[in-house]
Amino acid sequence: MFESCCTNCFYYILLSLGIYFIGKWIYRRRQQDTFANAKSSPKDVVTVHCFPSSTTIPNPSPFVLKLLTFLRAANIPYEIDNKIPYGPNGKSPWITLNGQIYVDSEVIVNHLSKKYNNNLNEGFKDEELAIARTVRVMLEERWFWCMPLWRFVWPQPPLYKAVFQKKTYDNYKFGQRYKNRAMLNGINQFEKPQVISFMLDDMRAVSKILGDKQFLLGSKPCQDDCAVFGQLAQALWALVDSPYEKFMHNEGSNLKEYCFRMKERFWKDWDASLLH
Amino acid sequence: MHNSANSVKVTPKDIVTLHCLGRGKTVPSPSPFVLKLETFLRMAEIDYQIDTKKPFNPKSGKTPWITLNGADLTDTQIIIEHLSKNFEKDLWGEATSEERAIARMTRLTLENHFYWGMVHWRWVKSINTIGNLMPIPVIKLTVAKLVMPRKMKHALNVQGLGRYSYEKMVEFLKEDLRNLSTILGQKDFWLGIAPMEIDCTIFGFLAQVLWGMPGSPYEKLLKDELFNLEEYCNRMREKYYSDFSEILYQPAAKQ
Repeated sequence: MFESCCTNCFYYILLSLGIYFIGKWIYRRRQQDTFANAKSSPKDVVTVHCFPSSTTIPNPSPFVLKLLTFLRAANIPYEIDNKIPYGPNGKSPWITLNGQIYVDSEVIVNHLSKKYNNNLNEGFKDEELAIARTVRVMLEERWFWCMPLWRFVWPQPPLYKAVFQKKTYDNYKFGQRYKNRAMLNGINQFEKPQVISFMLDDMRAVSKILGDKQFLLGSKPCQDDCAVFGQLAQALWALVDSPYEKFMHNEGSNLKEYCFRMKERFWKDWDASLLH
Repeated sequence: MHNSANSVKVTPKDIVTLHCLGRGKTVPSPSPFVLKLETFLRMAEIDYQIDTKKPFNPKSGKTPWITLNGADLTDTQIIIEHLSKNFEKDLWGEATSEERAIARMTRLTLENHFYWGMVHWRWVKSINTIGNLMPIPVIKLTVAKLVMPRKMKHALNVQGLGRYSYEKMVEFLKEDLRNLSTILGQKDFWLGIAPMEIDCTIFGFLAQVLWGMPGSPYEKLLKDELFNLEEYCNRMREKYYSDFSEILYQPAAKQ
């Protein structure tokens, strides 16, 4: 009896494992089908899959805004798809181009820059580009956190209405998602005033580096200006009533002017790009 | 006075007690943050002693942390700024505000981006050699080898770097090092001929690459290509760690 009990257990375990792996395979196939059947555009037109625009800024994601600004700066035609904002690696934005999928805004920007031979970094010295890259990485890896904290983690309930269309973003449970991520990152270990102080010091540093130049490295924008604009524009237009917005209007006014300059250059249709 | 005493019972006034994990076998501390802080203490000539009995702050759970005149403090940057004020040490010399701003960007890039590449190498890719870096009891080592790779992969996934292929991640992180090399150029120290506060952070990280990540693509990059970074590390080591070999972890039998 003990033997047959063991045999039964063995078969049950085998069956459970079988169901689990088959289910996983089916789920993956359906996911792949989803991505393969995502909206595609005509030849050589990039489809940007991302969250919708908002009422105050063409996109409340700094990485989407970076990507769209780059596409405009490099004169690469694109279309937007909001149906599947999360890509195969679970992040947003992602693109399809001539049937190929590409993920991660920086990987996409570098790939398209090479593919279309459109080098926004031409004419700049290596040391200048190294500094621009350092500013970009700092903003994207560290300063970026001021946004989810301000929008989704600190306020209860999360601040959807001020910037986004509430129904669309509510479904993604950004609040809990970013709270967990912020803890793992380490930024959430600090009290709110300390975090704000860190973030404002970061903005002061960017303001010092920009100085009275028109763009990061001089009188014409480099590739990393798209990323820096994508981040700072959020402070000016999509972090309503925040200390970061106040900073842009007061001490960091050169950053505000920089954002307006980028907007004027690449987003002449800014108002038409907003959510109405 | 640099005392590696393991137990701290009475701390004299104005002596910093640096609570951290123990010494490394190949680098004075396997933590870039501890090395940053210790280098600062040496650069600023602030007396300190090391305590390895309570490496994690009882309140925040973070490491390293310090105690000074009865008061506890965590986060290396907050500690450095507090100590600079307290002991009236300004380690920025003649640096302009723009140079300080670029230094801040550099520090944050290392601490928030490159740091994760180091974590991935040590706790995921090269987990089987972690015992060569620091002394870990056998049972803890076995558990760490089972638990840490999964935990760190999750952390890296959340941070973002974990979602790339390994090769792509290494490519991005090598760019961080190339960046450092380009900005340093032929200077002796980050901002010129004299070391400043930023050098503590940069040395804290580069020392890990050069002496604490053997066999990694980052070590290879420094040794094969970014010679100015290797020379910079040796310069900092000569200046602030003349006792480098003596303070490394020695097994008890040899003492």
